[in-house]
Amino acid sequence: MATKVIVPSEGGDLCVISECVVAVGDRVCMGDLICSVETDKAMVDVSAPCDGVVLAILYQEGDEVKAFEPIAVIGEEGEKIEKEDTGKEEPVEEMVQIQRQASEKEKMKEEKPGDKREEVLVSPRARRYAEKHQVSLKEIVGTGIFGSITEKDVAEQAAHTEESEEKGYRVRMLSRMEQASGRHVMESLQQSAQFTLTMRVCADRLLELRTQLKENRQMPELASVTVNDLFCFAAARTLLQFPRLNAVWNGEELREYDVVNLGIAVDSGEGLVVPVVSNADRLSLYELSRRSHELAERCRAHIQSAEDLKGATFSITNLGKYGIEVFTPILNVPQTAILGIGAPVGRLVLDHGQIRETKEIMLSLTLDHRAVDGALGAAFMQALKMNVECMDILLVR
Amino acid sequence: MESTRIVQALRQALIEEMDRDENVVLLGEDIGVFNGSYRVTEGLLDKYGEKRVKDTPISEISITGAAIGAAMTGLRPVAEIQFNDFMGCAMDQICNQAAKIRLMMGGQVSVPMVIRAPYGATGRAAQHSQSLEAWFAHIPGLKVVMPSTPYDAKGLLKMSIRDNNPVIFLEHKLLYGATSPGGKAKSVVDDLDQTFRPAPEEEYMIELGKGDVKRQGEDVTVVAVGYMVHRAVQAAKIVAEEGIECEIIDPRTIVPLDKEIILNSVKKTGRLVIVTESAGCCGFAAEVAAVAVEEGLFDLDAPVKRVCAKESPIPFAPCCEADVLPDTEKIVKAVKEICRK
Amino acid sequence: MSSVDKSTALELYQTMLMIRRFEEKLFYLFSTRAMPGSMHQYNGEEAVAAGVCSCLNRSDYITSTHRGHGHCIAKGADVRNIMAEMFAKSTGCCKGMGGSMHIADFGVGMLGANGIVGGGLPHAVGAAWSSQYRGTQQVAVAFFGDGASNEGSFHESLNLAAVWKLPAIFVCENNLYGFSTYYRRSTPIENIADRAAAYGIPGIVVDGMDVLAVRGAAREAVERARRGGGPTLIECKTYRYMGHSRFEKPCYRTEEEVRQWKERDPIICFPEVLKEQFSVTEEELKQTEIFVEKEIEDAVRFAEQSPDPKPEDYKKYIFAE
Repeated sequence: MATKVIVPSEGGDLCVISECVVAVGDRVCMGDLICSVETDKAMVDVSAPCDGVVLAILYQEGDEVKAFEPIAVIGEEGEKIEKEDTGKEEPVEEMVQIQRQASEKEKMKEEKPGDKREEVLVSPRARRYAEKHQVSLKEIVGTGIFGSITEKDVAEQAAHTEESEEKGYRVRMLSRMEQASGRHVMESLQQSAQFTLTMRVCADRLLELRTQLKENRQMPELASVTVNDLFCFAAARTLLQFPRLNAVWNGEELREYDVVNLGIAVDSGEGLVVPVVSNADRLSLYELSRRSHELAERCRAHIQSAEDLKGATFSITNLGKYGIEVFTPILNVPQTAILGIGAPVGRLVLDHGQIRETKEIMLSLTLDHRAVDGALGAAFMQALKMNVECMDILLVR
Repeated sequence: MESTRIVQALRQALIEEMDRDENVVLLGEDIGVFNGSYRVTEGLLDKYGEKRVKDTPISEISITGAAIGAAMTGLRPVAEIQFNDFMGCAMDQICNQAAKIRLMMGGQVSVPMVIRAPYGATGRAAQHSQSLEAWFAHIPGLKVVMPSTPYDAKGLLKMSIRDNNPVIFLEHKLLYGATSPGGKAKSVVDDLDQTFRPAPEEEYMIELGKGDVKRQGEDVTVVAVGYMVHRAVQAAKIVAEEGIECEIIDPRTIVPLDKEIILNSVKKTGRLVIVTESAGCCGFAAEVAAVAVEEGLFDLDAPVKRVCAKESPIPFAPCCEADVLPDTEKIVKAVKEICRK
Repeated sequence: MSSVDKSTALELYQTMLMIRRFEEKLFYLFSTRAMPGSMHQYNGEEAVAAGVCSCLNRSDYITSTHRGHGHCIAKGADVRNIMAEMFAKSTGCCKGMGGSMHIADFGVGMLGANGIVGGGLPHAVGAAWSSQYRGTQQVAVAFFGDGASNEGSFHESLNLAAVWKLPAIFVCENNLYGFSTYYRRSTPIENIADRAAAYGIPGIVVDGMDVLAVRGAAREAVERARRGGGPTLIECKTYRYMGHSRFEKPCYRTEEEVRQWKERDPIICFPEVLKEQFSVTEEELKQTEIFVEKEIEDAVRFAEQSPDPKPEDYKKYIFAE
């Protein structure tokens, strides 16, 4: 029986087939690379689930495909492909066409061994021109042999850029990752009922604890624990009492999770990435901190795996280091809640008739009203506030 | 009278040099009484006598070796080997002796001699059809000349005779009888254009190692030698109709090679096709490609293409011979391939 | 041998002795690794080079073989320059570019030793043609071995020289072995000189160990060539004492055979002839010996003290201007 090759990502994610390295008729072994797909989070390699012959490739490079969708079918030579294998409504015509395209591609390969190249080719002359005129080769579509970028292509791009500069603007093409991320937030805003609650928490004890950790001599490794880690720790523990906020909403049902898989937003330098600390509620503060830093490092080095980005049940985003106090985080759908953390701000408060300086942090919680209403959200915020303000007690518990 | 045919131009060069320098002597098979198998030496026996125009035995080693000995001792022999294929018989004398004597003897002597030989496929099957310029170009110490027009043939042969080194002078059979535009004899090269320049009667020389631009163009450089220059010109006309302008470079001499003219053209066009009638493997085309890559890589906008004979002995059957040889159509195809938009 | 006077005879001896002492010195220098490369030694065949070259003028030409030291010395090249060439020095006759197998000295008409068996024969033909063309009365001698007589170049050269009646003399040094192969295993006739008949020219066999016999035959051939009588093939029956190249196992010949040939060694036998027929004294022989020894020592010193060529020197010799 034919086996489907499935996009391995969590439900609902869209990805783009960026590179297909097999053609219909190729023999593959289990684990062989079939194609790469680009999600808003990462490049993911799709491997053959079993040995066999590629019977069909259901998408072309550049096509968008949803997670769990079959993108190719592997079976025995000459085996017929069932409609259910392809998951497509109009299998016959299209399949034939795709197969024909593929076999033509195969034929070209036979005729000219060098003709099909995966990477972007740039002629040496074009490369020199691009360096001299500081033109980015990234978005140029080559017109030369093998689709290579020629000097003329670069010159045209340079002229185009120059033209726009004359008109007072510059054209920047977004990377596929940025494009995918853009689609994702659009979808989030269009397809969910988002609203944001804010609450002020006193951060004195939390900051004091952070200072103690930083200065302690017994366990120097604890010095790296950040304010954000402390909030993550507090949020993970608090979420256990609020399963509706630790859930995904697929449009029909709400799946409440037993463990907290915490998505932590990281600025990778090439866009937003949200790596996931799994089982965050079961980790010690130190374990959580170490895991979260490790993931952030990988993202910044652009070596994160699909696994690192998978399965979040709740997300946290922190703009505090930029001085932002309050903001409206955008839900990382299909999750139901995301917590935004602001910058500590000093205030004078009246405490038992005494004026005292205190540090406060604003929390911004965006919720999907379909799953969580304002009262429940407020209750979560109160509980979280309690835990943050009595951080030491939470740590002991 | 100007020479409109290469055979006349070569003869004119021989006459001028023999008149100028009595040490210039000719030897070869059937060059005297029979006037040469391609008539290059026609009338020269009558004009200069048996002393200076020597019919030899069918004896390539002694023709070549005697020319070497004579060259070392004051003469300037011009030897004719009836077909360049027969130079195989004389390879030791050409490659181990003529090419090396000057260096081996520490510059005590030079070997001022010319070996003329026809090359090229004209329906004579495998042993009379080869283009062997690469054999000789591979041996340091030899110069290798391949003219494509009457004008070049005369200027280059005169220069070769005056050169103080062994020069292998290769003449394409199809070009001997071909006439410049306006000439009366029927040409074996269809549609010769103005690049087939006649040789004027006056004295002139062409430096060895100085190439010639046979056609100006912006889009692709086509380096071709000998007969293939004319095929390249034809191909250029065809692709010009599609807006591709070829610049045709005729190096004229394989050794020494005018790298500059090739590199300058590639600098302009960014694309390079090399055409030889010889087989491609380790050939002149490969050498030009190597020069372009080593010294002009960053001028290249597309892969370098070679249009050469297929790797086969030349078969007799005309259809098979045609399949092996490069032609106008194959040049057109190669040009379009690297110029495709 | 009426044509030979005492001083000529003594010169013949001195030439042979010079060649012998030169080769012995080379062998010593090679053995002690003082000298680079490889070499083929002429010991035993001295009478051929000395005898033939004694009939030639300085302006006459010779071409030689891979075993060419003797020819070069006999034709009158300076031993110092030959020795320096062996040492690959810039003062060598070929500026250190040729070495043992390519020694040449155009100043004395020595057109070159040759690393290719039979390679030099047609050059002698060409030189003879050139001389005929220019009308200079020069002759050209091609030295070659028994092995070369089976090369195509031998036959083509004799044929062309004969058909053009050139002033060429072909001197075959039949030392019985082409490298390791006895000549009768590669050549179906006893006398290589018989091949002259095929080209309609005189073919002469002489004792290559007898310098006067060689000289006699050569003299006749040279005279014939000069008066336009065309080429001659002279076969000199001789023997090389050393290996083909430097050190090889002499499995292809017996010690007895070597001993027998050495009994007729010209360096040993000719002094007796000199004393008996030319009244040469012991003192004169001793003086010759001393002179030769001194020349060789001087040549070695000259070579050792000469500078190496510069690494880029070869470039100026590839092509002539």
